[in-house]
Amino acid sequence: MYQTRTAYDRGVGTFSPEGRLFQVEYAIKAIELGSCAIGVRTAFGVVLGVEKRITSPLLEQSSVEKIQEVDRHIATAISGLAADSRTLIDHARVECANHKFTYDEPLRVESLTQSVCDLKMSFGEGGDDEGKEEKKAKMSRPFGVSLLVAGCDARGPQLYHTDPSGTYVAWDAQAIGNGSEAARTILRERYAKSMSLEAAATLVVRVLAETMEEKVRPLDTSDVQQPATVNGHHAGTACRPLQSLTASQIAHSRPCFTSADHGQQHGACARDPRRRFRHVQQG
Amino acid sequence: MELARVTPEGGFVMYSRAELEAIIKAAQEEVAAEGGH
Repeated sequence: MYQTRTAYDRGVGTFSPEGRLFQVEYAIKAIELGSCAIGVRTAFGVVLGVEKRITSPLLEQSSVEKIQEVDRHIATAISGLAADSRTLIDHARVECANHKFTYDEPLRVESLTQSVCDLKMSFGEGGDDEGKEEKKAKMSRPFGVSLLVAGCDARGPQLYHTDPSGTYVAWDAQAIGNGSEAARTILRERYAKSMSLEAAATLVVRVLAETMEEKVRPLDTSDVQQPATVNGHHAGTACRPLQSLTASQIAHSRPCFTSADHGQQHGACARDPRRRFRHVQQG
Repeated sequence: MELARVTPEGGFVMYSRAELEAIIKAAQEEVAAEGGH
């Protein structure tokens, strides 16, 4: 068995006689080493929850992002190699923006998932089309990351799970990463299609608490990822929709371009060190 | 732990610290009511 495996796992594009692609299976193994992520779909929306491993007290916790916004109506939770997920999420964001720009409507959740899975499949040596840029493989190996794609569109709330082989499947509730087997067992026992969004959130927390490596501890402020921002401003606890600014708001937020401007401007520079730094850079 | 929701009305929203604390408390109470620990 061992000899068979070593003979067929050296290339990403070679099937074993049993019909297996070992490199893809190894990538799936890599995901099992990642932190647990859970998604639960209800009629009212989808809840995503992730375990955040803080390996050192010196780590800036807000820099570890396991749940990310793709578009206003779609978010992802990841497990596995976070670096690989950046490529996929960047691709997903561009797809959403392109679709919105071209068709003036939000991209469907399934279409986005399919597009991400198309990218996931573009690994290997590039085949016979090495000269053509668009046909080149994007990765020399499978992406070692799994995504839970949650979103709401005309079909209602939806939850998809993608794996390194490029397969995607819709789920009512799904868990990925370390401890996902135990998490799935609990979800099977406790999930109900009719549950409220609040009950789904409680379920996700319960499952995470039971499967996490560390115990759930009292929160400190850095435990919670900073809310999404709109136009560079923190959106508070909820993501504010894009809105028109009044003339006074525009004047208030206008960056200072000259020292005279700077002198005349409001106290925003004193309140926000980032602004002050920007002004110093601008000279 | 991080928690987020995606709803048809509000889109993507991260749960705030206060909301997360309330959910953890509710989960703990649920476990206690079921005789867990």
